[in-house]
Amino acid sequence: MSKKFISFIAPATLLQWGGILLYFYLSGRITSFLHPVFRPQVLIAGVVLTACGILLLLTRNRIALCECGPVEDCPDAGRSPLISSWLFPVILLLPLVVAAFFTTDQFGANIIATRGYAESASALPGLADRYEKKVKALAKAALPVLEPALPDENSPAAGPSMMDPAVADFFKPNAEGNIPVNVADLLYAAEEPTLRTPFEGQSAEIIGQYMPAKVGNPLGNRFKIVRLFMVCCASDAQPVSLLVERGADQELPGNVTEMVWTKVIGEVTFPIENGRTVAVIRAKKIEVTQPPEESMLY
Amino acid sequence: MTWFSFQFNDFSLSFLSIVFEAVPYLILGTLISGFIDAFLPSKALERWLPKNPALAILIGGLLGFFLPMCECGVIPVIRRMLRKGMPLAPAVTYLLASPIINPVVALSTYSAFRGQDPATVLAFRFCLAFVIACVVGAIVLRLRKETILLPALLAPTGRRQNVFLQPAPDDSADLENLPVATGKKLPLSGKLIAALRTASFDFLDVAFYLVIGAALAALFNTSINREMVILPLAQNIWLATFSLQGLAMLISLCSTSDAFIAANFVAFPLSAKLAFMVLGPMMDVKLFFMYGLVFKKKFTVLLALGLFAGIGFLCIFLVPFLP
Repeated sequence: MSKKFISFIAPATLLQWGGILLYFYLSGRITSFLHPVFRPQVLIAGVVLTACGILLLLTRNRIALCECGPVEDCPDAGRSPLISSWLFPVILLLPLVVAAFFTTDQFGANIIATRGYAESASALPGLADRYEKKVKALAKAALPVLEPALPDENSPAAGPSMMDPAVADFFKPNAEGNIPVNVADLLYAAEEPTLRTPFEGQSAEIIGQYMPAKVGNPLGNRFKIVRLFMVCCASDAQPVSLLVERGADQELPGNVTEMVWTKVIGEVTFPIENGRTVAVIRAKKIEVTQPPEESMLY
Repeated sequence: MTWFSFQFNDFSLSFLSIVFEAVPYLILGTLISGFIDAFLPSKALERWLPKNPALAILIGGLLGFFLPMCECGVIPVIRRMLRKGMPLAPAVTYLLASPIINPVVALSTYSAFRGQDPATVLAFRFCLAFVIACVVGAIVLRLRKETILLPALLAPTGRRQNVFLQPAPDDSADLENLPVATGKKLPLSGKLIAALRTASFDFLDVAFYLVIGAALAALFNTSINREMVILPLAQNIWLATFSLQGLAMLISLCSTSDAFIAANFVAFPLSAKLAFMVLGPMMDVKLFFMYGLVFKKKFTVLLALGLFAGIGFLCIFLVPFLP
């Protein structure tokens, strides 16, 4: 490739990469790809790459020379020999553009087949830290009673008013009277008795992606609600699931198919199955819903 | 259910996420390399490091605590340092050790293994990485530079001390036979521009190999059935260790997150998890291609084989000493 072409392709590549990074960040699509901690870096990287692309364009006609010629072409420049081959722009330009414009923002069912489910909280890195404060607060306030207790003259009624406000908010029902939870909350609660008690028997609302339950489904009336738990990026996302049990006379809506976003409202239970306490939601209502703003759990 | 199942959407989602996560660190590394090129005098690093080669190697192994870099970002930095005259052996030691022996990885490893004796796991990870990096540095000390480095990196840059900025000649000029430049020396602003231009071209060089490595990592990450291929190997200490090492090389995780993934492999012994966490940041599919910017192909292949075998055997040897 001619030096003139290289002098255009280099800034064009930087501008393309910068533009794609900025697009993903500003459009909000980045939420499906990276943990929140890493997202601002994408914005910074996009700005820097765009600025460098503009700089290369503006300084194309004012090159830096040293005694051996243009700086970038010095024998000791350490430049990759591939920069002047046709492979360079193809590898740098095409894959990113194709991936960016032809990728939907969620994994398909195949990711569950290849990675399997994490069906216990201990398999999810860092999860215990999220609930540590809540567990301590609950232990301190004694087991909370969410139904009003009969007060006696010696002790005030136990309940949310006695708990740490952050914990009270965690168990606060929404306007429809259901506690909004996610898969990780109940997965952890199944293993942590202090956290389990406030949930047991309560009406909860949970959103996730539908998948059939091939294991732990003796009567054929169960399915799984699935979320992806991300540590750093989508590449390390681990599927996590919760069992949902339909009532005897309850049918699955026809538009609920694999990996469709589904809202389930039901009673939270923690039966012991195969020697393990598991979380199972006894569904009262099942419906297709819009994906949440953050499609991954952290 | 098959052991290999490819879906383009899953593959490209994983590919993009690896690229998005790595690019900021790559930019950081190339910016540092650009500024090293423009501002650091030649042979300065050679002057600052101890003259004793063994001591220089040890310092190289610990440098990551003061100049922490991830495995992607350290490559352009090392390339520039070598061209500025840094001795090869401590440079290679720093290259291998810095993605692991740094404060960020210390924190992530400790957090990931909470409840699993995290202090011990962290200590073993750091010690293993330090020993392996220093051993490789000691081996490199005995080898000729010409058998290791690309020709362009063999001679440190002495000729670039005087850099001039002037209008480019017209297109018909033969740029390779220009007369010696006679323009004015660069002011600070000019050096900054030169640093950013160098960083930009360095970024393109490294990004080329990142794309190839990220694509391969995404392919393995989303298409191979881990339950069918990996889990049956947990029962035997040798298979467990070498299979997790193979996985580390294929899925090319960042060293800040690999501890969380390693902690997940509850069926595998600690020695196998340590091998996963030490080999991955030193050599994986992505790095195998990116090392092509610094090392000759033969050396990269031998380095990969040596690290794979060395780390694996060392971790198995440590089994009686592990909790």
